[in-house]
Amino acid sequence: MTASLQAPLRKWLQLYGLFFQDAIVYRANAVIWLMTDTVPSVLMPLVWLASYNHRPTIGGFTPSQMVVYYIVVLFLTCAVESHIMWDISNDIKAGLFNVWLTRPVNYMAAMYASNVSWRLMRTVIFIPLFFAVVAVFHQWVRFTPNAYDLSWRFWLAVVLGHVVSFLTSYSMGLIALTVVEARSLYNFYYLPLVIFNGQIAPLSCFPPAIAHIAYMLPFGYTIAFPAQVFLKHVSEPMLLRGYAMQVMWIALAAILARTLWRNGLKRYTAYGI
Amino acid sequence: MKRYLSLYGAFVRYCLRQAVEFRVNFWTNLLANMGWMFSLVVFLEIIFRNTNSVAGWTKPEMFVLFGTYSLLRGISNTLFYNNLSQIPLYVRKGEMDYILTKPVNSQFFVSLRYVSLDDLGQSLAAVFVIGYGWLQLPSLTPSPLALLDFALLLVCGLILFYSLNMLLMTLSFWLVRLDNLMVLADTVFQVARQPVDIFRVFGLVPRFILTYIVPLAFLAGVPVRALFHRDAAIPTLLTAMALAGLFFTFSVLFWNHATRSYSSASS
Repeated sequence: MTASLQAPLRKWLQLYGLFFQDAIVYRANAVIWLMTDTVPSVLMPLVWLASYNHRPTIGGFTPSQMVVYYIVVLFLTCAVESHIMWDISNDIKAGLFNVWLTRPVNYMAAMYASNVSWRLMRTVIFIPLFFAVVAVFHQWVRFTPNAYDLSWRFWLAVVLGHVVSFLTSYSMGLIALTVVEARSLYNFYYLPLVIFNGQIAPLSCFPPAIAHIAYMLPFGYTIAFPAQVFLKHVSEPMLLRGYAMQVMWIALAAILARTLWRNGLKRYTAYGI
Repeated sequence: MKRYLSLYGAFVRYCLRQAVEFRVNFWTNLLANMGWMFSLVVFLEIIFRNTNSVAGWTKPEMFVLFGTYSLLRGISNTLFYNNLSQIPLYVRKGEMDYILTKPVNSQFFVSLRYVSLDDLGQSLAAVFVIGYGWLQLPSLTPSPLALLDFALLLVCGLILFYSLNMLLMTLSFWLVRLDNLMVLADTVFQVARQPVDIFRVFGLVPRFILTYIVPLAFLAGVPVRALFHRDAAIPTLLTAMALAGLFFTFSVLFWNHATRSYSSASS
């Protein structure tokens, strides 16, 4: 490796390492916290299974697909959903943000590094619970090779959704530069998020108007869209439209983040902290 | 007994004196709870948009069940949460020694010391949900006897809620590093929000366990079922009282065992 590449690479590896350690400290408690996501993922499919009453499908999903939907959603919640706004607003509130301004590191890249270590840690710790849930529902999981889409189509949707989620929550975090009590605003982000991102139920089970709104907002493209791709519930034109919307939201969120950063920084430094 | 009642009165008065904090916390608590419950209400609404019954439970029954569980949780949070969740901390920081030397029953003290009036917001939100469920079936007019039965079953449910919680938190004498045992309790108790019949896809055993071994079914499911279906009322009530008494006794025995074998933090 050339000398010019070594230094920045080492810098980034160290940064990743630090963030990872930070996340691992909470591992004992982390298992319990993970259960808070897993128990609903077991209860909700059970409620659905008890609702079919001999119907072949609900919202276009067979009982088997409905169960697997919640398992995929559980995975996607770990791998995709970013909550970086809390870290950012904490830093800003505690006055630690200045430290970032003096560091020779791009703030967004650094926050992305932090986000990736959290996503990785959650996904890795989640793996045994994932197997546990699959074991519990093994009657309904199809173990044939073509049952689910595990091709690049799915993974592209996951990666794009991951970026959408990061950029939206990053922008939410930057709001704390301008608005002092940004944290109370975050509930207004989480409420629509929980409704529209498909973690409560597949969007096809919602009233069409609600589903329509979800597909106009970034929320529909973080978890709902990749989950549907996984279950092969997406036609070719819909797939392309989905990717296009994801890319569009990445662009929009990036522009928003840039604007918030510029304006926020002006306001922030004006207070001369 | 009188001594304990007057002591509890002192606890409540002390907490009421935090009046200023109370107002702000009450509203933030209420809003947070309404937000959380909203997503669950949405879930139930979506379910019933697509079906008429969940394991034989209709829409009004499901909503009243959800509201009743939340009400039970609200009352339990008000009375016990701040206290039981601190037990691991007391053990770890050595405050448990201090508590054990007091001339009062330690379990009473540790369970009821603080009243969390802020959490009344959750009970209020729960009443709204029960009301919403009732609105789905206005023809339901329970007789005074049915309401009494419901209330008694709820009291049994509350005693069970406390006892199961207490049994779990007493484990922190041995599992000292786990700060969030209370979160585990909360998580497992969520099962009581749904009718235990949804577990019938797994056969009879899980359902049996959740009804008699870890009687989550008796927290809210059985009282609500009794409200809508008046069959086997006496046997159900007797079973509920027996289970409540049994598990309360377990919690007392386990707590006494824990405090007896507890070697203090500073030796």
